[in-house]
Amino acid sequence: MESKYRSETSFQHSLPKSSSDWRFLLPITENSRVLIIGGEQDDFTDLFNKIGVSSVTWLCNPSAVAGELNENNQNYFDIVALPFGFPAAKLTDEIEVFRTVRRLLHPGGSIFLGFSNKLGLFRKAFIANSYQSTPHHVIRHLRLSGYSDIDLYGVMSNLETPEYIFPLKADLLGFTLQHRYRYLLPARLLHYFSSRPLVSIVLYLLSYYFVIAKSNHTPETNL
Amino acid sequence: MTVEFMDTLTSYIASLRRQGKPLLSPPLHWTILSNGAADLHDCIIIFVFEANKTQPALVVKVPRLPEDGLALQLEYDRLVELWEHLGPYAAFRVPEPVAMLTLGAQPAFVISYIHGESLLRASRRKIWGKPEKVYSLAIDAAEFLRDIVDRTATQLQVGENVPTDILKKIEKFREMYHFTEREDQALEGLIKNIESMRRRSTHKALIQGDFWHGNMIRNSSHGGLMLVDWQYSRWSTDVSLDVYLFLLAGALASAPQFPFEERARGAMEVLLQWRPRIIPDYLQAFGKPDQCTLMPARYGMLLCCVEKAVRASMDLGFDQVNDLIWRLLFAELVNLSDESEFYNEI
Repeated sequence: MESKYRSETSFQHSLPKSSSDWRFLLPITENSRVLIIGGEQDDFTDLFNKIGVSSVTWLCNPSAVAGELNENNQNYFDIVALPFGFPAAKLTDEIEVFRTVRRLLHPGGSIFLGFSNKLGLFRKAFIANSYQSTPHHVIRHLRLSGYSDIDLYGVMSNLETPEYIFPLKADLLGFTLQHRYRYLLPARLLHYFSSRPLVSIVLYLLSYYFVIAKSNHTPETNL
Repeated sequence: MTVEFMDTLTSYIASLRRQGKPLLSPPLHWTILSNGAADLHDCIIIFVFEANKTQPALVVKVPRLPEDGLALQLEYDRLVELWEHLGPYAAFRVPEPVAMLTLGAQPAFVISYIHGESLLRASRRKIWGKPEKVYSLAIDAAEFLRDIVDRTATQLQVGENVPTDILKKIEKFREMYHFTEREDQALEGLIKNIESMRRRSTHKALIQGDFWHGNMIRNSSHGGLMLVDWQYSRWSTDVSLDVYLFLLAGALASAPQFPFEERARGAMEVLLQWRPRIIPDYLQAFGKPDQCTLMPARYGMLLCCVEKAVRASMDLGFDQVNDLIWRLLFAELVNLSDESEFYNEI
């Protein structure tokens, strides 16, 4: 029998599974060569093509990042993005991955990484492939691996479809908490939670962060 | 710093001046609100803060896809026109259009930030289901709308034809769905009504095009309603879309949200509950427009359903599953029993 309405399957979904708003944080131009690693499906290539960036490579498995490295793509990419991080069994693995990514980047290229904070408050259950570390360790290991200009951003409330992204400043976190919870928490409680002394501490206890760093201008052979 | 788009944006905003003085005190800070989850056709919202301020000074709407910048340009143009018509009074009603930029290939629309309570989120707890609150908001909204219509009403020039694509929208609506005979007749009636209204029109006014509580903010300093999101705004000789959409959207918000069929039925029940007092008093508070036309509720409400049901399909090129609710509400409005007297005298 013919349905009175069009079937639901005729409605195309414009919703990719993952947000890619983190691209606004990155120095991406039409000529950028971008490698994106992670995610369950390629939500990214089409989007980047639509915004005029044609050279986009998507790699599903973050564990395979080392396998990407060959003569042809050493120092090739302008951006290597791992929006959901990578599985790291121990902290020393971080340095190994950061160094591998640096070999993929041309000098001055940027690494973009999302990670969940081991010390994070209200962290949701472990997500497959989600990389867990701490802001302190990530910054330290990026420096050790040959990166500079490291910028850290708070992310609420998950890495896949973040609702808020902000530079780590107490006032910005205070506003974000007010904006996010204004209609969910009693005003007095929210005022307390978003007060400057408290948010100054909470800044480093957020559940998720993005970090961007530049590969130093030293050729790989000098590593 | 590696953040080039954000750097370019904040540098540009820092360079804005008003009466010779910088508009904002640097250094500027920002927070991104990833509005609309991952929908590619939505904008992200960037809040821009002055140094040492805890509340934003400006809001920047940035489309995820540069091709969607046209809608923002339209919103900017309409807001500029609105500010010209409203004069100093505009600051109490709508955000100020500060700049329309293209940074690289990326469009960005800069407007003033409105301090206040968004009715989209506050109304769930505070308004719907509470008849006195609904009544009060409805009267407030009707007076607001009438004020905008009166202040923007402009006499048509000899031979001036205000463009409208409503007939195309009805055609699209017919393409998208199957209709019963009664529904088809209702659409025919709507077309006749639109044509008759157009023949009578002598003025045009700036309609908002999406006049519902989700686009309203209760300003925290003066307590009045302010209206945001003007991307569907346009000049029109008929103001029915704005007048009736407020009622339908409110009824849908008051009904159970799922499944869709139940939501449409629930919204109809809410409208029936509002019929004795809220709807006539809302329409009375808006009043009979002196210059533009207003359709009877029977056709004005159907017009809203058609407009909302086809909007994404026509503007974005794909259908959004949530728009099905408007098709279902259309059916409820048409199939209302003649004995219900719902449409009598409104």
